[in-house]
Amino acid sequence: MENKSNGILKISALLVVSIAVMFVVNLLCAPIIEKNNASSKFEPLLQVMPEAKDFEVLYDVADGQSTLTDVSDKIVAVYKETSGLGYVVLLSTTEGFTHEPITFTLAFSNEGVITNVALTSYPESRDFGKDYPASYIGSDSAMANVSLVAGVTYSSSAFKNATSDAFNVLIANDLIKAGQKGADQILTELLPTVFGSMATPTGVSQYEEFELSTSTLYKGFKALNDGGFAFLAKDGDTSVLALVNTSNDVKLLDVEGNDVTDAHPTVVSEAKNYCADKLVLTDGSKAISKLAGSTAEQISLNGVFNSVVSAYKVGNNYGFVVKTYGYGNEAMTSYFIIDNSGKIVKMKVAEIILHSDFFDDYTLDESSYLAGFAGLDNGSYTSEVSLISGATVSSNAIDMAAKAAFEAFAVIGG
Amino acid sequence: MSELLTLLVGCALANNIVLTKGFSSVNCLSVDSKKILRTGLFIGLVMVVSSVICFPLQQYVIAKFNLSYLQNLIYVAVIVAVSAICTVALKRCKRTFILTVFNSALLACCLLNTANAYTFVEMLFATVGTALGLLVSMYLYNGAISRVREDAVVGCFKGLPIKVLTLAIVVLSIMAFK
Amino acid sequence: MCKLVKNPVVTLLLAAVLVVGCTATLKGSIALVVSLLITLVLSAVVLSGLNKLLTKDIRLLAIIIVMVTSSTVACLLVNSFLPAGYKLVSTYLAVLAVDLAVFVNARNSSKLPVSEALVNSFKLAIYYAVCILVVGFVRELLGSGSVYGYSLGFMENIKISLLQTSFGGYLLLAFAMAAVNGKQQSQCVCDEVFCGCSCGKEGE
Repeated sequence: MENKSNGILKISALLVVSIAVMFVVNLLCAPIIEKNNASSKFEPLLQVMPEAKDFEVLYDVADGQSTLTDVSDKIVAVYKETSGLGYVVLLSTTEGFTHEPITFTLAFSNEGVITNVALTSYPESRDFGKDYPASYIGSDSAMANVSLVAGVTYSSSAFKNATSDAFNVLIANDLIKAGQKGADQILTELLPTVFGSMATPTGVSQYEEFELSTSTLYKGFKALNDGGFAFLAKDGDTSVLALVNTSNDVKLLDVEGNDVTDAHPTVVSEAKNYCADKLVLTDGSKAISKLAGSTAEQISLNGVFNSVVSAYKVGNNYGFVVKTYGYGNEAMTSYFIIDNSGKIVKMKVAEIILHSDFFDDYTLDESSYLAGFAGLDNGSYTSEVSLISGATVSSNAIDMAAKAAFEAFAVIGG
Repeated sequence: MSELLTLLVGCALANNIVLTKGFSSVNCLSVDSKKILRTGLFIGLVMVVSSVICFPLQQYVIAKFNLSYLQNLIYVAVIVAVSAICTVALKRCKRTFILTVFNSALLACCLLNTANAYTFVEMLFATVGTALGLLVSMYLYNGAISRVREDAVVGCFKGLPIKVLTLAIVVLSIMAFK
Repeated sequence: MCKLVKNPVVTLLLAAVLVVGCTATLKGSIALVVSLLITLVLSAVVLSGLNKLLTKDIRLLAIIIVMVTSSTVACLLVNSFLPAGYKLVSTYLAVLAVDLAVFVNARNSSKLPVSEALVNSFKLAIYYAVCILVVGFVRELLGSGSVYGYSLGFMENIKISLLQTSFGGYLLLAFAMAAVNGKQQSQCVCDEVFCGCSCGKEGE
C-alpha cells in the first residue's frame, strides 16, 4: 500500500514538473511562434514588397469590416505598408478562359505606379508568358503600354481588368492619383464598344493591328471577321477614331465618343481610299435568297457599324448577314430575314455550335430553336431566346448577332 | 448523411491512416495473421472511445483555457487510460496494452480530428473510418505478404526490407481510391 | 553506421512513421531530425537521471510522461526556430510522443548511467539523421525535382511524383533498410517488446 502511494506521489510530482516545464517553454516560445505566424501571413506581400516593414489591413474579403469603398469582387485584400512605401493588393479573377481563379499580387507606389507583380495561381490552359505580368510594372492607371497577348486574349483580358479594378479601388479611396490616358489609348479602348465587328460579345478585342502612314492616318485595325477597318487619325491637333464598314462608309468619333464625321473630311477620304481595294465583301446573297425564298439584292450598309457584314433587299423584306465571334473566338455567321415592321421572319445560323465535339451535354432541337426567333422584333426579343444550355459562348454570339440585325434594320429599313 | 458516409469511406480507403499517412505501419507489419480481427477491433475500440473523450476536452478545456501546449499530454493520458481500462476489461496482456499505447495511429487520429475541425458526428464517422482503415490495411498487407516467396528474395531484402516493400505495393492499390 | 546502433534495420523500422510522413521534403526532414534529436536526448537523460526513483510499477507511466514532455518541448522549439519545416510535418512531430523509436531508446536509457544514455541517444539520433536526410533528399529531388524548395530546371521532365506520396516513403524506407541490411551480418538483437525480423531468436 505504501509502495503504491509512493508510486502515485512520484508520478504526480513528475506530472507537475512536466507541466511546469512545458508551461515555461511555451511562455518563451509563444511570442516567437506568434511573430512567425504574423510574418507568414504577410509572406505573399513581402514577395512584391520585400523592403516592407509591416502592413496595415485596409480591406480583407474574409473580414466583413472594411474602410474602403468601391471594392470590386476581384479584390481579395488591400494592405498599406506602414513605413510609406505604398500599397499591396491581392486579386483573384475568374474571367479567364477556364473560369478558375487567376490569383496575383500587385505592389503600388504612393505615386500610383505598379512597382511589382507576383502571379500566385494560373490555372489557364494557355500560358500568357512570364513577361506579361512584368509588362505592367511601371504602369499607372492609364495602363498605356499594356496590351493583350494574341491567342490568350481571355486570360490576358482577365488579368488586365483585375489590375484595372485594383487601380480603381485605390483611386476611389484617394490613396493614389489617377494616371492620365493619352488620346490613342482612349480611342483604342473605345473601339470594341462602338464597332461590334472588332470585339467578342464580352468585349475582348478581335482585330489585327498594323501601322500606316498617310497625312492623317497612322494606325489601323482590321476586324478578324472581315467586318471592316478602323483607324487612329490625327487631323491638326484633334485625334479621332475612323470606323469603316464593308460598304466603305466612314464614321469618325472623337475621344469623348462624339460623331465628328463632318468635321474632318480629309480623314474620311483617306480612310475610304485606303479601304477601297482592301474590304472583303461577304457574299451572302445565295444564303439569303434560299432562306427568304426569293432573289436577294445587295444594299448599302451606310450608317451601320456593328457585326452586320452585308445587307440585302428581298422583296419587301430585308436580309442581313451577321458575323459574330463564337467559341474559340471563331466567326459565326448568322442570317436574318426581317420584314418591314421590324419582325424576324426567318433566321438561320451557318453552324449553331462551333466545334460540337466539345459540347456533348447540350440538347438542342435546332429547327425549333431557330423557329423561336420568328415574329420577334427589337421590343419583344430577349436574350433568353438565344440561350443554349451548356453553350454560353455560342448563345452570346447569336444574341449579339440578333441585336446587330435589329440595329441595322433600324438604320436602313426603319 | 451521404457526406458522412463519404467521410467514413474516405478515411478508410483514400485517406487510410496506415497506407496513405504512414502511421502505425509497425503495428501493421507485426500483427499475426490469425489475430488481425481481434487486434484491429481492440485498437478501433480504443480509438473511438479516446476520440469521443478528447473531443469535448479539446473544445471546452484546451481551446477555452489556451492550453495547446498540454494537448499532447491530455490526449496521451486519455489514450493510456482508455487502453488500460480496455485491456483489463477484455483481459488482454501487457504487451497488447503497450503496443496500443504506442500505436501512433491513436494519437494521430485525435490530432487530425482536431486539425480538421470536425463536428462531433463528423469526428465519429472519421474515427470509425480510420479504425476500419487500420483493419483494411492489416488484411491487405497480410494477404500480400503471404504471397511473397522468401526463397526468391534477394539477400539484402530478406527479413524486414521485403515486408516494407510489400507494404509499399499495398499502398499503390489504395492510391487508386484517391 | 552499423556500429552506432545494435540492430540498424529494426531501429530504422521503428521510425517508419516518421520516415514515411516527414521525408517528402528536405525541410520537413530537417525539422524531424532536430525534433527527434531533442526528444531522444531529453527523454533519455531525464529517465536515466530518474532511474533510481522509478520502481517497476511506475516506470512505464514515467516513460510516457517524459516522452510526451520532451516531444512537446521539441515541437515548441522547432515551431519557433524552424517554422517552415514545422508547418509541413506538425502532426508527425506531435506523434513523437508515442513513437516506438523514442520509447525503445528511453526505456533502454533508463537503465543506464546519464553519460552513457546521452552518448547512446546522440548515436541513435545521428543514425536517424543520416538515414532520414538521405531519404528526404532523394525523395524531394526525384519526387518534385527540387532541393529544399528550390526547383531544379533539369529535373522538371524526369521527376517521379509518385515518390512524394506514402508509396515513395515506404519504397525508399525499404531500400534504406536493404542498404543497411546488406552492410551488416544477419545477427538480430531483438527487442522484447517487438521483434519484426525473421531471425527467429528470442528477445534479449
